[in-house]
Amino acid sequence: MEKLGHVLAKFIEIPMTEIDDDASIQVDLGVDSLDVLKLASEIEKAYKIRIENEEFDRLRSIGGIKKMINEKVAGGVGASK
Amino acid sequence: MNSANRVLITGVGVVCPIGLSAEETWQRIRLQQNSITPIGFGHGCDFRIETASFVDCEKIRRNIKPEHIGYSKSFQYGLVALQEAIEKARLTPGDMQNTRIILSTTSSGWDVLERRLGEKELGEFNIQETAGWCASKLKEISGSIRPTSTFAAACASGTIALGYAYDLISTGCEDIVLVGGVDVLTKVPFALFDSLRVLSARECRPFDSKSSGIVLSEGAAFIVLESEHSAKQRGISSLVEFAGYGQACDASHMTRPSGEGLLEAMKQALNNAGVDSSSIDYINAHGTGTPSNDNVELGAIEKLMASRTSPIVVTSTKSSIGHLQGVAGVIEAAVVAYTVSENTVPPMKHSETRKNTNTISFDPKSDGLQNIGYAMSNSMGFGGVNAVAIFRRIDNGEISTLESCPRRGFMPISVRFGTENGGGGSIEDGFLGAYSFDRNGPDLQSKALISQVESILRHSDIAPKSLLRTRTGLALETCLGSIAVTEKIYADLDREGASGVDPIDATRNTFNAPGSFSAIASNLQGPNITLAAEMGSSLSALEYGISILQGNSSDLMIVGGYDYIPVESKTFKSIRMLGNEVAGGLGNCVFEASMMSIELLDSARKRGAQSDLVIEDFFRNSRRASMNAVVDVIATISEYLTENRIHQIGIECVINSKEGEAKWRKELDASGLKDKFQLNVEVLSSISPAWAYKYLKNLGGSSSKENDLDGNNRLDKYLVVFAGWNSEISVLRLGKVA
Repeated sequence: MEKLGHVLAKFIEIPMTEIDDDASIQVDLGVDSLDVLKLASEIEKAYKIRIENEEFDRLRSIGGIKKMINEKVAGGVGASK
Repeated sequence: MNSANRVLITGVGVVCPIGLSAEETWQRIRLQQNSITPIGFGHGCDFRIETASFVDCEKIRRNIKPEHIGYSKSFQYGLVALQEAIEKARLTPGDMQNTRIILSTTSSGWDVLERRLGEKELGEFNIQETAGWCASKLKEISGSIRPTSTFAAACASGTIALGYAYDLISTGCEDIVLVGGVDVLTKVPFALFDSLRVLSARECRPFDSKSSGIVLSEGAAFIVLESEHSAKQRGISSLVEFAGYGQACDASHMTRPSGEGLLEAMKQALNNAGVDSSSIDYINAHGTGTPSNDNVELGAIEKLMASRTSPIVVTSTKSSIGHLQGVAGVIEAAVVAYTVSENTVPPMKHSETRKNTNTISFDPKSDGLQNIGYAMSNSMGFGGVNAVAIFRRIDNGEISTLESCPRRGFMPISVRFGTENGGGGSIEDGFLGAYSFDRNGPDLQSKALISQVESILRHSDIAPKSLLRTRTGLALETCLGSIAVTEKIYADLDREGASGVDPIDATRNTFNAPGSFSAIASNLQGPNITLAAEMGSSLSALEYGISILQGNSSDLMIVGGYDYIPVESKTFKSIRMLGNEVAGGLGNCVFEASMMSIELLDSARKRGAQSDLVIEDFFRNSRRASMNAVVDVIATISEYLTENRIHQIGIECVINSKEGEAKWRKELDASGLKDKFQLNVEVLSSISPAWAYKYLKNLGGSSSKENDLDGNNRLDKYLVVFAGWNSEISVLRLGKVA
């Protein structure tokens, strides 16, 4: 998840390791809605995956993002097309 | 005698994915049909969504002359819709000569623009790429010789254009106005909506708990608006009256509507139409199918309709026709015209999980709705721009006043400019940092304009944030809009596909992005308009701003022009390829902007505000379908002076010409004007509409010092005549600054 740490650093000042997996990106960490869109694009680019519009709810917390990346990179459920 | 002319709809024309005429479109909407197909331009882009609604271009080609097939698709759609509207309204060539064409668009000519950007070698710039071109070409073909205006205020453009035409007719300035919308769906606009993740992979389901987003669409629509007097004279009957409109800017966020502007626009529309909310029988909602926007719109409607005893019927026809962006307001007004005249509410497709509330019913056959007397059409756009129109059914046998109201007299206008360093030079120098946006805020062009707006507001003796900003608006005009951002998005797409598009750029790419950022920065909640100017033309924003003031829709308007064409951009180089005749107009205007504040002289004096210039009269004129000639300028001046019995005046003739000044000077010198009047001829060359505002600012600078235009204290009045590259001429009569 090193790449995710780099991506998140562009949006959140606190290092990823110090953020609770359940913390809300928008409410607790104050990331603007436009930045969440940007964050999604950056994750897509970094991991060469596709985040579908209907999966957007999974970007609510760091834990959700990690889980989604793991699934997609492993080619499991919800992997990119 | 009437105080205002009634405005009727006497013809419509529509081209959209589900129909190539208004009637066909209406019938298909009633049958709840739609047309969603794979996008043809997605190759290599890997868009997240790959479907939208498209016009059948093959069929369009069969409906136009062979010589028009090579032009931009948006123009072709517009031409077919225009022809239908002219036919329906039975407008003769004689009628057309005096009919004004007003357009709305977000992407006119973008198919041509993107073709150039996609070429490996540097391609030559095509004039069709400028959003103001289409109106001029349609004017030329239709035989109109009246000036055009093109509104590019995102997805509210169409309703704003209709509102402007309403003002022109109700105040007796025009008898007939053809209001149209044209848009072509191409890669860059699609990429922007895709990056904002607001597109639907399936159908568009407005107000539905299963709604998943917008279905983008394209096409054109035209509505013939006409004074009652003119329609009677021509023997044309109409069942629909355009009863009133309203517009307001949220001034809060580029992509997240607050609902406040929409509520204000709906209230204004009711007030303008002289009815209360209980009179409205049906609302054709903006209803794009994105849950957040739909909820904001419903919230505003709930507030407006709170005191009703029966629910208001609301539907959105985007479930059938998709979202036609710049055309949306016009095509939806055409739908509402059918709704009202046939007393039939258009149904919404895919409505199984939509829930009625105490205030709102989504049921087109609602028991409470027997008779549609008044219907409202809502439009909301990027940048928080909102506009609302109200239409009314004219009952058979209704007795009307035959007398036409005279043209409203011109109320003098006070002009104020900003500080000297409020523009020009480098963008960074001009930026005052008036408002602290986060890093998702404006691009350089917008920042520079924000600084100018703030500077002018201060100079207009308005303390920042203290005035009632709901009565302060902004009207800017530009030739190439946000071309620098567009090029960047195109290159990002090319390089990295959909994931490479920065969603923040989606907020910066619309024509009205700088205007909307300025509204947010300076809290301007009044009308917020960006007009698309043809190359080298100018002053359509001043004309619009004056109309807003004279119609009492606003107390203060900031008007002006700008363009930002970076030297390193492909577009800059492509314009250079056209040769010096055109490229000379680029000058060194990597960034060119000039603006001013205007308000009624009476109200400026009442609040003790100073004036840099006083405009005693203003009009835009046109005497032929295409390029201006010297004779047109001379005839315009001579007629004006004769009509107004003016024998002593200074005349400043400002010619924006690609051909150089020798010819103009020679012919104006030979015209005889010089024998009777003090005539000064200035010839310049500029692509951006900023040129005329810049010139006025120079005049204002000297007049405020010397109480005269050239400091020689000879005359109190000056006529300033601007002639652009196209067929339009603007005339200002400047009076003594007290």
